[in-house]
Amino acid sequence: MTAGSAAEPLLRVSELGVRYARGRGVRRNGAFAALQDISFDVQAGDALGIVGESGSGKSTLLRALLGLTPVAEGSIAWHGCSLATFDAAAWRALRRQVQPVFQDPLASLDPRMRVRALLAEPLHVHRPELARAAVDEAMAGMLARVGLPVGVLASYPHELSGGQCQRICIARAMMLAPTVLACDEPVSALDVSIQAQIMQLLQSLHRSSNLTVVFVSHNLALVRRLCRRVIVLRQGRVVEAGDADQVIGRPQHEYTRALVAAVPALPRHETKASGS
Amino acid sequence: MMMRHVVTRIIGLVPTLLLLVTAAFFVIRLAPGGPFDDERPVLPEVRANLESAYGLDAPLTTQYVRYVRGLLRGDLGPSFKHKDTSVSELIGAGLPISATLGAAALLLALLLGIPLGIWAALRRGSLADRGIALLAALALALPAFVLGPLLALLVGLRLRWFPAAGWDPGALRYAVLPVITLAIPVMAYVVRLTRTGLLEVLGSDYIRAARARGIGRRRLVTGHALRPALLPLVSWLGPATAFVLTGSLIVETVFGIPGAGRFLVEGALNRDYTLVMGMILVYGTITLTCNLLADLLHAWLDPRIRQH
Amino acid sequence: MPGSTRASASIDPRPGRALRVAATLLLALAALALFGPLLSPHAPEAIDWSRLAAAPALGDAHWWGTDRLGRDVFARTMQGLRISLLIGFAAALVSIAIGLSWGAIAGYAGGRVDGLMMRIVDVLYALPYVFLVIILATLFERGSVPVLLLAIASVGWLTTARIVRGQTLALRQREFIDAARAMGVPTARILWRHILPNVAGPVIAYATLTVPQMILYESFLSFLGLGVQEPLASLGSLISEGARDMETAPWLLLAPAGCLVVLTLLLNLLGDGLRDVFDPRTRA
Repeated sequence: MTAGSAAEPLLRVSELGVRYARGRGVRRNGAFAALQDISFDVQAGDALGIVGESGSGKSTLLRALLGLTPVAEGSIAWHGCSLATFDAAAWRALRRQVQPVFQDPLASLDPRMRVRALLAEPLHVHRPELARAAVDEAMAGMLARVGLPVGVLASYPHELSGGQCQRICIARAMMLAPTVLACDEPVSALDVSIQAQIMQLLQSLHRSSNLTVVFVSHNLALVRRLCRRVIVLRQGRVVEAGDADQVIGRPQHEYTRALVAAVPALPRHETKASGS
Repeated sequence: MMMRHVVTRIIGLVPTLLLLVTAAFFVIRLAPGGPFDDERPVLPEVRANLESAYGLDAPLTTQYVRYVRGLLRGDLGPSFKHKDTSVSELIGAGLPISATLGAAALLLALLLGIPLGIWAALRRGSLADRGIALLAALALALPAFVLGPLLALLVGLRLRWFPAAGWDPGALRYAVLPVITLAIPVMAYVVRLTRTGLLEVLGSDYIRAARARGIGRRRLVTGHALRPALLPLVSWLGPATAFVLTGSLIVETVFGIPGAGRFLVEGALNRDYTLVMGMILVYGTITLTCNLLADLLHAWLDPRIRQH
Repeated sequence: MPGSTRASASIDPRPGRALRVAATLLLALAALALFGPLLSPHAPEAIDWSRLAAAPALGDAHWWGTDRLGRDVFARTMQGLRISLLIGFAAALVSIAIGLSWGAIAGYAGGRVDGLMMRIVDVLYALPYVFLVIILATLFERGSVPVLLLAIASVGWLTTARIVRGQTLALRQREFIDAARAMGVPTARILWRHILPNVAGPVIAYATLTVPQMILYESFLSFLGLGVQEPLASLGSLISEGARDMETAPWLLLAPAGCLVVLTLLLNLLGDGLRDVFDPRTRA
């Protein structure tokens, strides 16, 4: 709809390449290219889906965007500035703006911390000036937004269900009112009924707060439901990219067709009008 | 491939030894006091003569370079306290005794400990197993400086089976109590490592598969399980050497044996710089070499490593 | 059979029971070390001129006997026990602090830093490390407790560092550490708030095994005459004193030696038990 905007994109990925070393130490023998020649833009407020089978490099791409994996070639630019030029302060500022949600909610929460400490941590780190009362208030407000009772603050992660843990992860990511939420298969470890609830939560956050979402998944139905644009990865390369309805509804590439066919049934969704 | 590995590892010893010598050299010199401090008050000029005779008046770095050059020629220098005797002569006289005792103790511990460990593992949970475990725990709580005097008191002075102290190069009976003292804690480790190693291997899938094929337990242990089970023990042999050398310091004191161990403490207390350095170098070389041998043996026994 | 779960639980109560027994006995021993001197009517350094080198006898005023100088053996042994425990615990604390920081930093940093830091540990492991400790102990102010403490602690941190490093390496792969990094939590805070609490379990178990080691090293040095000096006495220096007179007065050796053996044995049992509880490998 708004492809004509001349503004600098929020995120610009150009000719990105990521390599993993094969072997360790002395026995290191070359590198394995996990990603090659990846280019795309993410506009502010957009929702981008990254799809592909397992091993296609989609999680690696997200880790590179989060600065967890070193970039071998090309660049990732934030508001036009390459991340390669960032100093420690710039990274801190960036990390406040880009928050992660990972696949396994229980594993992404420190088992030795109560929910109170987990939710307070982003504020302690990025806004140490906040008084205790303000932190408590922010946590209570955020719990209401993600649909959890205040009572969970005193719980440890292992005392909560998978869905509750993922809500905590999303709440933690949202505590700093970030610009981008980077989600790596955020619902694939959950029961189907819970999946729907979490997807609804992500959708409402995306729409209500102009939140940019980068959403990695193997499940095309979920991607189509949430994302406006999509890129399809295979063996570390982009095979197809564009409008989500277009790509998923009328896939051009054989690989994408296979991915679409693998999804049992695409539910008709009420949230977006499909092009046909 | 293996040969190249061995050579690389031996060359790798050199920087480690140099590091050890350097660290020890400067740490010893940092400490207050000198070799001629607590002798009967000597005239300042006599003292100056002594110091220049031993090269102690030169700057520390010069002394260091001089010492390392000496080492390259195989010269450990003169002792400051034992007049007209070189460090090599002192250590050379004591080391064969210490080394014999240590090697005998290690051998004894292995010869008795491995069968005991196997026996305990095969009868896991039985009275014998628990008894051995308890004895091993007790032995580990019996350091040489407790065990030595106790054995000397009981077996030496009360029962009079073996001499409680002293040394005679020709008489084996003087070596019995020192060797036992050194061997018992080592044996406790050997038993434990053998037992847990064997139990771990016996619980693994391929042994279960072999058992299912009907291979007898005795053949299973000797033919399949024992070699991998002993790997942890083999890699412990390096530290074991250091353990035995440490113990020999005590054993030589307790039983009045003229080994080399006493020179370390005596030299350090007297600020006999060259003697201490010589001891550190010689004992350091021994432990490093034994560690290397243990590593190589481990690599040779472990087919997973050997393939590379 | 009612309560079959109880029956199955009682099949193998040994680890728990041994642990409890060892812990109870240790507490008793520690209490004895603390309050033992109060139980004895004699001060450890008080000299009874009428009873030099008296043999132990039940009902006697000196029920563990006296030494050559007429000092009460029970009072002296309890004092030695106290000093040994004190130095053992303090040295264990210091060495664990060093090992914890070293291992956590190496494991978290990974790569070349990790390689270098662990190489140093390997080299120190391979050296007759006790020799350097002996030298440290002899060279600086003999018998000074801080020097002794540092010298002993410098041996104990190596194994802790290895354990912590292994645990940290495993933790680093966990998603909650990735999440913390991606959220911008500073490295120091990740180490302090996320890594350390999660490695605490195995480290506590190992720490219990460090204490007897430290006690033995202290006694070792004291036995060689390099440890605490008169009039202070640790179990090691009492043993060395006793060994000199063992022909005529064996109780001088047996009292402190027995104490030391019981103490180390109990601490070893406690540590082994705790390790079984915390070791992720035995927990499966």
